[in-house]
Amino acid sequence: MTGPAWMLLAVYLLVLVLLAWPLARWIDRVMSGRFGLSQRVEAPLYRLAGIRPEVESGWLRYATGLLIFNGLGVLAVYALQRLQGVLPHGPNGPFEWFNPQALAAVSADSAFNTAVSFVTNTNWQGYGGETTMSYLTQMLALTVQNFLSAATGIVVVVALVRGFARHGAQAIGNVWVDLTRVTLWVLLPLSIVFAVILVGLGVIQNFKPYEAVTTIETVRWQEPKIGADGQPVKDALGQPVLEGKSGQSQTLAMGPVASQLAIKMIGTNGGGFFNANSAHPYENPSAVSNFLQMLSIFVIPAALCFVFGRMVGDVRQGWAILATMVLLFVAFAVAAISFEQQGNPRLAALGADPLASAKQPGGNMEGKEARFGIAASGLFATITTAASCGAVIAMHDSFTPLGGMVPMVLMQLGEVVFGGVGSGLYGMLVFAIMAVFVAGLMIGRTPEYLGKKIESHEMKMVSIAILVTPLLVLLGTAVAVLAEPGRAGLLNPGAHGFSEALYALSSAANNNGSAFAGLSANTPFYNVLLALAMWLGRFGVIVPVLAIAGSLAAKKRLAVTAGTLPTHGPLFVALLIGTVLLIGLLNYVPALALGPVVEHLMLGSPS
Amino acid sequence: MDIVVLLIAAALWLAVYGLARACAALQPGGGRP
Repeated sequence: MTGPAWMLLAVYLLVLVLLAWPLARWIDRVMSGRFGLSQRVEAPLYRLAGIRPEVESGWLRYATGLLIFNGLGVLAVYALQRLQGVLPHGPNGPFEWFNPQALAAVSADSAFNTAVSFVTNTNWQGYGGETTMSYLTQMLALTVQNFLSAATGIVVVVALVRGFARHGAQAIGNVWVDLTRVTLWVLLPLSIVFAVILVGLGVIQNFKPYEAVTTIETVRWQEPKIGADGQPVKDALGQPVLEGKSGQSQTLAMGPVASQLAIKMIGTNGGGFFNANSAHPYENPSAVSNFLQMLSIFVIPAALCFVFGRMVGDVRQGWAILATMVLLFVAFAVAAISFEQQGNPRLAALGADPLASAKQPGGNMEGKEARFGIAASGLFATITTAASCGAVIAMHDSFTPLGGMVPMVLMQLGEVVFGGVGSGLYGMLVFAIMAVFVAGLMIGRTPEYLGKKIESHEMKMVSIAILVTPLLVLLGTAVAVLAEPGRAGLLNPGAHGFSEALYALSSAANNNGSAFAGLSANTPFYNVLLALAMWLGRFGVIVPVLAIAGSLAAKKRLAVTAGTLPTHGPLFVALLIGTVLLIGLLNYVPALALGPVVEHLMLGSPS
Repeated sequence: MDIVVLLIAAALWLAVYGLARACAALQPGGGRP
């Protein structure tokens, strides 16, 4: 790590905590109904929808409401994509802004994948935004789901925390009220302010048709030849066939980018307006916008730690969870940046200077965001995969094997290091329950967390919540590398190809959405396989988490005694870190050994 | 193709709803308030 890299990391964490603290006070106020204006504005909405806001429900009804809400979301996003070609389109007419490029309907399998992807807060994108989605689809389908999927994650964690905070209660909240409040008073205001800031920094926001410009120089490049089946043509050795291209004209994609970008980051969604995501200059124009985008990914997950502390009446509990996340995050960020700064030993052997100097960045610059360098690219990669965001500014596929393993492992830990909005904290609280259970086993005492006895039922639910995603990732990867359509999508042979499949399944099942690059995933096989992983990885965890919430809410609160394990100190933080890492390693080390670890060892072997 | 997709979506929805019912059944008292 270079000096500026350390400084970037330190400033980032400092500003993050300074922003998260006041935001937590606001979220707590809104979600507990203590914001006066809230009830006056919401009342007509509830009357219109036939909702009685004062009536709360048990966990099963709460979960069913969420499932219906998100199921309808899938249908709506799917329908808009399939119908965009017949809705008003073309550069003329009163609704020209719907679809000025006259983009056709999205294929059924891709539309399904995208619908599930955006509803589950994954935002995996098998498509390229500017060549596939109309402005109407981007706004009404994808951006709306960015809000609603983020709201879903937040209300689940609020319900879980209510389970800890309440005692002898059957209800964990009103799902419709919670969804309304978090969308209306947290996500919308933050996004509006952030979108305006982004426009000020140069992110575009318009409904213009794409613009054709003439470049100053003739540009020559090579790109993979695409066959009639839409897949890259490969030679006898399985390598992609490249064809030379040249030209002096370029089409510049336009669109309402800032309004989608703001919630894409704040809601840890990550689905880019453009195919290049946050590496596109219209989506991330400067180092300042890059820094703000990195901050916006973590700000709600960090604030929710404080919200948790406030709701359970002990802010130290929130600090302990936040400390756990920060320590894990710093370790992974330092690892990723260091591996990339060390560079590729094979290039060094050929005479490339791997050391950073005033004249060159050193290290491994392949696939990095050239404007921001290795430190910012490595930090962004760590942030976007620690959170379940998935926005990218660098190609993780081009990282060194161990550098690329960092984002992969962060996803495989279950997206609990900050994680997605809401989902990161409820995932970490599930691990906290597991940690007190392990501690209870060690000292021979019935485990308890925040005054709630942890018993058989909670542990069954914790087991389901923890095991669902590894099951999906490992089985899905096995299917992908065994099935012919799965292998056909891999660009690279050997260990790196295996990593491409493992990364895609890890990203989908843990609802991250970032891509490793190299995998041709817009095929019926991958669209369906990944949609399945995304849906089950999201709601297969939410359901047992809500079951835990319901079970805990009904329990009485136990008094703190001399035998109670303190869960706000360094000992518990260490225990929680150990639990997260141990479970992650036990689940994934064999698979990682076949991918990035083998690839790393091959770097040192004769070619 | 749309029908196939909708059938897959319905199956996925039911799978998670089934998981919710199963979790409720595992809960002491059946999970109902």
